[in-house]
Amino acid sequence: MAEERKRVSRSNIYAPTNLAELLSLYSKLPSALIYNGGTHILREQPRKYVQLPANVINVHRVQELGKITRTERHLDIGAAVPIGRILEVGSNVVPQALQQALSSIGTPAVRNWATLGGNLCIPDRRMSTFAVYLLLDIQVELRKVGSARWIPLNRFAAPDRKIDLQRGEVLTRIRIPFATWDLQVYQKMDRELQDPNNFLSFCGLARVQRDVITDIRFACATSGTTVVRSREVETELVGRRVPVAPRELATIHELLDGLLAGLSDRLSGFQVGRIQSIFRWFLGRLSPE
Amino acid sequence: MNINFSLNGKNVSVDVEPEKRMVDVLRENFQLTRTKAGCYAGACGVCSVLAGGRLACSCLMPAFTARGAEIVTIEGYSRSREYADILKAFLEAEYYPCEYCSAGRILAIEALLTEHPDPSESEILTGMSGITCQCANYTSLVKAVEIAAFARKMRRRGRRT
Repeated sequence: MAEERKRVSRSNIYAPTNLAELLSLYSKLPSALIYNGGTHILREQPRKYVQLPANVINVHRVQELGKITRTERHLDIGAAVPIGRILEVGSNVVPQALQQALSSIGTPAVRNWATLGGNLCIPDRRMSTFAVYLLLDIQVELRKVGSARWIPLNRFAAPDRKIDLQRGEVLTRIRIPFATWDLQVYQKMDRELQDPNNFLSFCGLARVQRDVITDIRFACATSGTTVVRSREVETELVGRRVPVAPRELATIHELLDGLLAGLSDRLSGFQVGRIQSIFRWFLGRLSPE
Repeated sequence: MNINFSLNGKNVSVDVEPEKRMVDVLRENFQLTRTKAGCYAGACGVCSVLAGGRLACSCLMPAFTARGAEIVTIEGYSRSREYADILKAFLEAEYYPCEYCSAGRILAIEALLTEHPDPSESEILTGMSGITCQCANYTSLVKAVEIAAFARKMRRRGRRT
């Protein structure tokens, strides 16, 4: 108790109310922690007092970051919109695979506070929803004083690399393009924080016209920064009739096995087996119209 | 750091370190001890409170995030008619949660019924999935939530159940 009484806080908390104020403040304090839901930061520190850096910018009241806007072609989600609110928007607006992925994050109470921006800005992890973001061609808006840029997610958070945020730059919006998919699947295997060595998330999207695959994408993400996606396998599948013939399947599985063999230093044998099985399951779900 | 917020309908002010978790602020600074401290990782749900009407794990809220917020704990909620409905539903469904998780469960039911006034079984199970205490069975929990939902609906229609 005595130790607790002596405790002196070393953090300065700032609470800007609009984007201009936030960007100006962050340009002066580029090492500050941008804080909103805080679910990941606090979950990583299961102790009585949270360790915070010297400067914390709480963006909870920045109105621009809490908006959802919809156009004919895409959905723009503010980086500080809670995941629970995105789910409330409904499945007729949010793509089904994304809806499933977001529903699988934490508990309802955690989803009420966790945000998409926070989910994307964890530097050393790609989290369970990354595979879906990647396949949906999500773009992110990054802003700093005097500049704004939209970049695709695979450039912002390239596999096996830390996220691409410049000094004083803040992730402000996430753009989800609308596209029609005949099949959207999402699976999460094991819990990413409890069992990181076995954890995998899988997303598969496909378009089938007159029993022919016209577009197909699939990706697996681990609890680190490794993401498995093979454009070669995807291209190989486009133009094939569904259900894919067993002989053709064997060729495709060989291609996938070759890719996985190259990632043996980053994937456990168990994860490799899981990717092979779930890919098989995904192809098996492609059926004639 | 001085933090002003609304707690159970009253405006309060407290001088705490911004790094202190809300669950400890509630328990130590306000003696609201029916909100329990559990895992400090948002996994067990026993520290649940309503913040701005939304269910929140108070262990995942550093004190500074409460500034200007409206926080309702089980002590504040227990003054409402809806609380009485939920307790009655527990008895009727023979659902007896332990003292450790009951506050979290009741507030999770409140949040669930606010969002889904007539919840399906799967919505109930999803809504209650944040409280991981294994003290009571889920069949009677589902029944209890359905009874509480019905009681609330009847109350809103101005009838007696």
